[in-house]
Amino acid sequence: MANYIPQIRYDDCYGCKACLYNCPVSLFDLSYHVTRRGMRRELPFTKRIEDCIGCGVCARACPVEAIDMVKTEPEEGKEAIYMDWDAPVRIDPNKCIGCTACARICPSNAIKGTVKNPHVIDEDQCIRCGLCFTKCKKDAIYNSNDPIPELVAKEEVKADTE
Amino acid sequence: MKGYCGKILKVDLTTKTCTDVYINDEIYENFLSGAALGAWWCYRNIPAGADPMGPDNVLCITSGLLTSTGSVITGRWMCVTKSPATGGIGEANCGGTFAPFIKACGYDMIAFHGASDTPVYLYCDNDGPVLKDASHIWGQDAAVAEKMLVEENTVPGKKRPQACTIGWAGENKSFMAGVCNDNGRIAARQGVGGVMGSKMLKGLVLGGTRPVSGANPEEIKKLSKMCAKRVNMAFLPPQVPAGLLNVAKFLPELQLSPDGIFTGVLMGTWGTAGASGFAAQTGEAPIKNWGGSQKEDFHIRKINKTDGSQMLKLQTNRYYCYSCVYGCGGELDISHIKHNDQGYSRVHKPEYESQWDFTGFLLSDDNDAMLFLNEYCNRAGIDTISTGGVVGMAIEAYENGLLTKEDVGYELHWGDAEGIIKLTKQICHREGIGDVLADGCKKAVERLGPEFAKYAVHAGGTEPPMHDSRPDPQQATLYAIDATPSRHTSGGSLYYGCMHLWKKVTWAPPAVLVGGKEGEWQISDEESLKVLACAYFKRVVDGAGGCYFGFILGTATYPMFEWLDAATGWGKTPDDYMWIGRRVFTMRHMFNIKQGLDPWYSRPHGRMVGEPPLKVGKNAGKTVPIDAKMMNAWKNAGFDEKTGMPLPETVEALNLNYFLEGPIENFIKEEVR
Repeated sequence: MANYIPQIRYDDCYGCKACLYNCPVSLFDLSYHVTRRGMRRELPFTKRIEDCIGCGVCARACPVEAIDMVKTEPEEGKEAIYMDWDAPVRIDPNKCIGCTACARICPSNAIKGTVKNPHVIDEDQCIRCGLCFTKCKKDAIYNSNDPIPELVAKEEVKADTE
Repeated sequence: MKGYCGKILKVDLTTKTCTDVYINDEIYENFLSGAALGAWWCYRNIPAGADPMGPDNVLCITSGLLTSTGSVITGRWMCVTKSPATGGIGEANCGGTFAPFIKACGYDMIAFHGASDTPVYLYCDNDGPVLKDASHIWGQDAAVAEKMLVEENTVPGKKRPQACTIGWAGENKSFMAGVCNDNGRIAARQGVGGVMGSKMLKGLVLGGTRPVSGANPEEIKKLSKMCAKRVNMAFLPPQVPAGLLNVAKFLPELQLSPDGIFTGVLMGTWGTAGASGFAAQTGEAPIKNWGGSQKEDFHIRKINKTDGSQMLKLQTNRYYCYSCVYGCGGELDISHIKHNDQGYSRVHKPEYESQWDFTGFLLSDDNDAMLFLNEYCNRAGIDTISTGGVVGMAIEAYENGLLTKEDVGYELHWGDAEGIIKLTKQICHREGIGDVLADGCKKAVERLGPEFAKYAVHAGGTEPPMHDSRPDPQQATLYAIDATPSRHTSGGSLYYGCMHLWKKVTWAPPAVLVGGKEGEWQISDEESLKVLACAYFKRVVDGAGGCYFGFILGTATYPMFEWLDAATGWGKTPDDYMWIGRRVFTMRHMFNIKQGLDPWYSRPHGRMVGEPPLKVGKNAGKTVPIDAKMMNAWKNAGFDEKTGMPLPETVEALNLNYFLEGPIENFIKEEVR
């Protein structure tokens, strides 16, 4: 289960489908049926909540703030990563070894780089899901407004990581 | 981010190359995005005299500045091109689900240049754009093609893409073809789908996940909550019959300016089709190809057989476009209706335009035929407004002996649903007489002869919608002077009354809450300023991606100016945004002039302005002094009132020489992918 999952407050939901059409993994369908003003409505619903990646895009897209992102308990033995969505996700080039694992898991294709070279996150493309954190073994990824450190010479980085 | 991406995608279909085009902030700040950006790009890239069906034409598919920023009722996408129907700027506008997917690929707009020699479609996701072969879906209707394209590009666990496609009419390069999305929503007008077909572009499939935001998301959402709450307070239970509105017959003719929230009641309860009874009773709905009247030609019993309540009986669900909190749409089950030889089942509810175009306009009370034809036209990807118009012309020509059974192959009569269905199908496929009619009334007259012109009702090559301009001089003027003529969505007296623009825009004249309509026939600067206020505001709304039914909710409910400022942080006033609207309005006229059109080209057909006036019915005796109205509107727009050409000082004041003639490298940076 993702570290956050969405809960729609249906009394506040107008069914505009912003969540459905912005979700990067198409989690929602229109299977929540209500009758409002005498007519049948289909509202967004998370049928396969286990597929949610907890990015919070749905909540941020909702124009009337009818979606709460609820924290879940992490799986046993695993550390929870609770994102600060007001801050960008960045990579410290001095810690990154260019293994590409983060780039391969990114659902938004926001991480660019070549093998064995420091990777960079396109902050406008990033959806702040935190999946990259789960893959990085070098603790190179951080979620704050701290500026990206300058890249120190390669030999020094190699010495640090050995 | 300020709501817009700052980048468009240019696809050259001849060389099969894709280029990222970064556009300077000053273009957005002076034109907004959406259809305005499309019009600017078309002006800069379509050479004078370009064949609309040739490779020199450009087709822009665009979403608005506000889309996906957290505003509501702002999910429209638009097609902008040189129209084959008019020879000037062509635009079509659609709801559905496609708009957010354009921006989620990181582009405000996708512009198609050149033409492919084989059927292709554009696919784009986070990895970027690629042109793919579409020969396996060429020949499919728009809905089937959309379904096939989405399924073959859906990857489990990733974002499901959305698509827009053309149908048979677009492939046949009909001047009435549109571009479809979400199983039958359509950007229908002015042949934009025909242009897409001429480029052998079957569709677009988009599946990116790039986030979009405005400068001040909290303020945007605060406004959205207010709008959503107000809209959802205005409704009637569906058991209330739409026939109740027939009491309008007994009302005197009045200028009404209630808060636009009252139109929300109509839309929210029955959808636009709820208007048909009211429209027919008040003279709003043209009847018998603009030549008849409800009193003589279409009894109230027939109206009641085909009104909005009949549709609600078949409705299984409400339908909401992306970001809409209004939900004027619906889904119907038509599996059991007569004439349904295609086995259609779950379909979109017809809009008022389609509903009236295939019923009262052609004197048919066959509701099933209308329901079937609406879906058939959606599948064909053809504009129901123009199709109804050209069918009306053909029927009247037949009834008056200009067309015979030998010409058509069967009989054509007013109210004969079988004939109407046969002819519409032929038009969709360019078969038989349908090939002559498939490009609209103006082209049909060129092919058939000038004696048909009296029945060919259009303005500048665009058939008018089901909103009679004889009782509404403001609307008649807008049909004439907008650069995309014959469009009720440019505005009119009733809409101006709902918008309440004068509460935000310092120069917009107020309309009285309830009053006589006589003043609307006056030739006055005040009347022209009302017309221009509608026209400029429409340009703002189309730059933002807003819906027409949003802007007729009124400025108290639909805070367009406030949303734009919250998204961009520009600190502009409503007057500043209307100045942008004026700039776009003027630019579109300059496009037409560059393409060789004389501004008088869009003077409406006589029937649209009461030349001669009807003798019977609500619009009896009404004539709009259209020449004087056009000239006064031009004068107030800063154009030469005799020629309709924008005056040099107007062009200079709007800075259009700089934006339209300065080197394009000043405004863009290209990176070939």
